[in-house]
Amino acid sequence: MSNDRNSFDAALRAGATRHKAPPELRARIWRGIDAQLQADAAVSRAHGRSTLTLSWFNFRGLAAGFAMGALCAVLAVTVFQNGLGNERLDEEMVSGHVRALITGHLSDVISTDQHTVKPWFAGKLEFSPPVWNARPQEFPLLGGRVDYIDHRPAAALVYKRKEHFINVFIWPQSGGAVSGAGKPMNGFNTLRWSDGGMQFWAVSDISAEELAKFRDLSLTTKEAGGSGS
Amino acid sequence: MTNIKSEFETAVMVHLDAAYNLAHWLVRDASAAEDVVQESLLRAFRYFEGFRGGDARPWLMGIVRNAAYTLLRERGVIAHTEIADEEGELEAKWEAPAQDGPESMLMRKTEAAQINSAIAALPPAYREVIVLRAMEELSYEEIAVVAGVPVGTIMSRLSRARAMLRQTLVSDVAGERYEQ
Repeated sequence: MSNDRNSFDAALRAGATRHKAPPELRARIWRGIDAQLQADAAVSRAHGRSTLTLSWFNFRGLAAGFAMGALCAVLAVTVFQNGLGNERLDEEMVSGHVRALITGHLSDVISTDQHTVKPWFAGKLEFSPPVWNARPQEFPLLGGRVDYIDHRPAAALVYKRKEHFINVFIWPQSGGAVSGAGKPMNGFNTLRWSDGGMQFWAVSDISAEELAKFRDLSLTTKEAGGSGS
Repeated sequence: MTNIKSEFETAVMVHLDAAYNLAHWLVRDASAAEDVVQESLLRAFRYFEGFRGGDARPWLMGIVRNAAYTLLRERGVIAHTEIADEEGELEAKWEAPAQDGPESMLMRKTEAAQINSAIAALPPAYREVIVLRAMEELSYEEIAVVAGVPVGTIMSRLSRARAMLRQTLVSDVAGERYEQ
């Protein structure tokens, strides 16, 4: 019986067409990969300084005696968690935003209707991100995708402001509430907030003031509470 | 920078043909298949650092499969609901396969074109297991990883898919004989 199954499969294999990737597809993929690498390099160049600060801390910890080292380590960890932790995430967020723009891959689900976008995430994420479209005239919702931030999948919502894009990365809050704006990076602003057990990180090249307005509108929208249908 | 690219070439890009074949069979359109594969490979490259060791083929095929289904859903080819729903319906329509019999002998005489169109006529959930098993020769366990369902489900989908193909192909061959 298993032989018969094998010979059946073999007959299929012999008869069915195995489609081969066209050669120019391979070249196109490598071009896309190079574009991604360039975008990543541009973002980390702009952020070289923070890496330096971290290694300086490490160096101090090594050079001083054990007690001094321990103190430095505690300091470094604190700084990392409060300051650099957020900076590293900001960097990741900007990088994700730029990559999405360069590769033209902003949305996997393209819809201005939050009731289409929200169910799309079901089964793709272990949480249900809030999706809102509070001011379609000012900040229209374009769609969403699943992205990978801080070693875990996150929802990414895409909004538009005139000709600019806003990416909002959403995932469940793990530590305390987050808030505040990150340092502008390569002309991109970041802003983070917490609401209903979720954290929201918005990235865009619109001004910090406009991004704050976007956050305020999002916070006052009921659907942003998360449990809405 | 070049290092990660050469690692990616050895581990992932070598499966480009397999990825393209699956995408082509799922979306059934050459240019859409190219888009699906390009997007999947770029995504695989982004997550490549998170992928550690093992065979990258089932991992890549899983990414391709998801991208293909996303496209099919966007085009309204398949419903937004899970394919499991579809399976329930099909179960009613298709009876369990009869004993594996001499039909596969008839298969040898079947034209390639008939085999292609019989596979193309299968619903996506059955088409993909046939492509992955018979054409790409993945193990049941690997296919389960790709489709994100238990191995048992893969085995029952495969046996149902083989039964559907047999039925189509055997009736094709029988029809021809009758005409002669």
